[in-house]
Amino acid sequence: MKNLFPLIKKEIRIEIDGLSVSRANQLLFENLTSTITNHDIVIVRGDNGMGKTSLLEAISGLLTYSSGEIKFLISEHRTSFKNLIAYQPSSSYCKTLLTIKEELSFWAKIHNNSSLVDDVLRFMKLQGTFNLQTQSLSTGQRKRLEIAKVIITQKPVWIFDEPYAGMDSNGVELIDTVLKDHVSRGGIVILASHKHTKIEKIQTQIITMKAS
Amino acid sequence: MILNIIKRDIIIASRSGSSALNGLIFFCLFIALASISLGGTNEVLKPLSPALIWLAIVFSTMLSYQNIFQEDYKDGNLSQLRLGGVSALNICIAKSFSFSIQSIFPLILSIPIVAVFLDMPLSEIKTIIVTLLIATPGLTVYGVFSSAIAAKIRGGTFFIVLITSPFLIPLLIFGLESMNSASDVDIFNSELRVLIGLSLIASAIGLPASAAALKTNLE
Repeated sequence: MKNLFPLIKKEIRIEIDGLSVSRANQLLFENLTSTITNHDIVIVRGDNGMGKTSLLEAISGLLTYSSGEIKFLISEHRTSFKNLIAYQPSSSYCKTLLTIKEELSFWAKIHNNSSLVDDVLRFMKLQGTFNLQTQSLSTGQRKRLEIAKVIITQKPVWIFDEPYAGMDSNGVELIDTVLKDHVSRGGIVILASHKHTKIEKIQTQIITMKAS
Repeated sequence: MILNIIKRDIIIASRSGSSALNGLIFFCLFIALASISLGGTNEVLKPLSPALIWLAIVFSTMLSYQNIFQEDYKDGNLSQLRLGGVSALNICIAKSFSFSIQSIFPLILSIPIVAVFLDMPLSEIKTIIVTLLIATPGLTVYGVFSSAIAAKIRGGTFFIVLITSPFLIPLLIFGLESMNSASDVDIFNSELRVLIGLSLIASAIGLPASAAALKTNLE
């Protein structure tokens, strides 16, 4: 089987400079500065309501921030977040009436990677259930489908919000291996989590969100 | 890209069945209630039936406008499409097609059945279907536009009805006028040409405007 993880040869850098985000007129965090590059695993920690999700959304380009700047660079050339980012929010965005295969194939077509669908299904051990509608999946199966959808984007930067929520130890291990494999091929992983897992041992940066 | 989104929307709609069915039930109820309240005799109903059908269709499409973007906005699919590099304009074009197919065409297809109950002559059934097909882009795009504006608003149905009604009034006026002056020989009268123009203007201005509205809502 060919390797499903994108091989990233170019240098990728995300430069966060003096970032401040407020929501509903309330300042969540301010002056956050960080540089993230290939092979990085960034873990965002913090209590509930400290702005973890907002930070991830801001990096994903889905949230406008009040001040500061986030720069995306491929080999020192500026680019759009759309070329780099795959974002998995904490809640699933599956269409409940589609089957696993239909859901994955749709996103594969959007990202022009239709040839990978069967391999990714097999890799995430979903091939036996590909005809199930996503509304009848268990938490673990849904999580695996979410990760399959991130893999199918073939983007270099993967952002996860609470990827371990509701997973048993096997599931946690599976996610850790997937993230490790991605990073080893030059990818970047940014994740927000309350859980302490093995990935901590190889993290390169921890961003702690505190009340400002 | 656009075709994939349309295909997916149609699959979802055909499995849930609700959107098309709700509109259809509302459409039939409206006709039934209007006939009852107008006395139910053929002499009274016959001259009014085109207007009743037009009104019923405008109202029932108006009620389904809310669904065009709201669900995709809430569950995060719109953001994911944007991350997938699909432009807001392409999303709006795709949604226009899937809305016409799942919400307006079932209504138009049911017209012949309703028309039999209202005792409409065949020539009138023909012209009402033609005028409604021509008005479909207008009916659709104004809905897409209002839904794109109201994607973030919870329970925005009232707001949507409020902003779409001024746009739909010209469609209603010229649709009915063209029916009145239609004859067996010449179906393409000047009112129908105005209706075609209204639909074209709606598509030309409405789609970019919806894309802009959607973009601001996604940031």
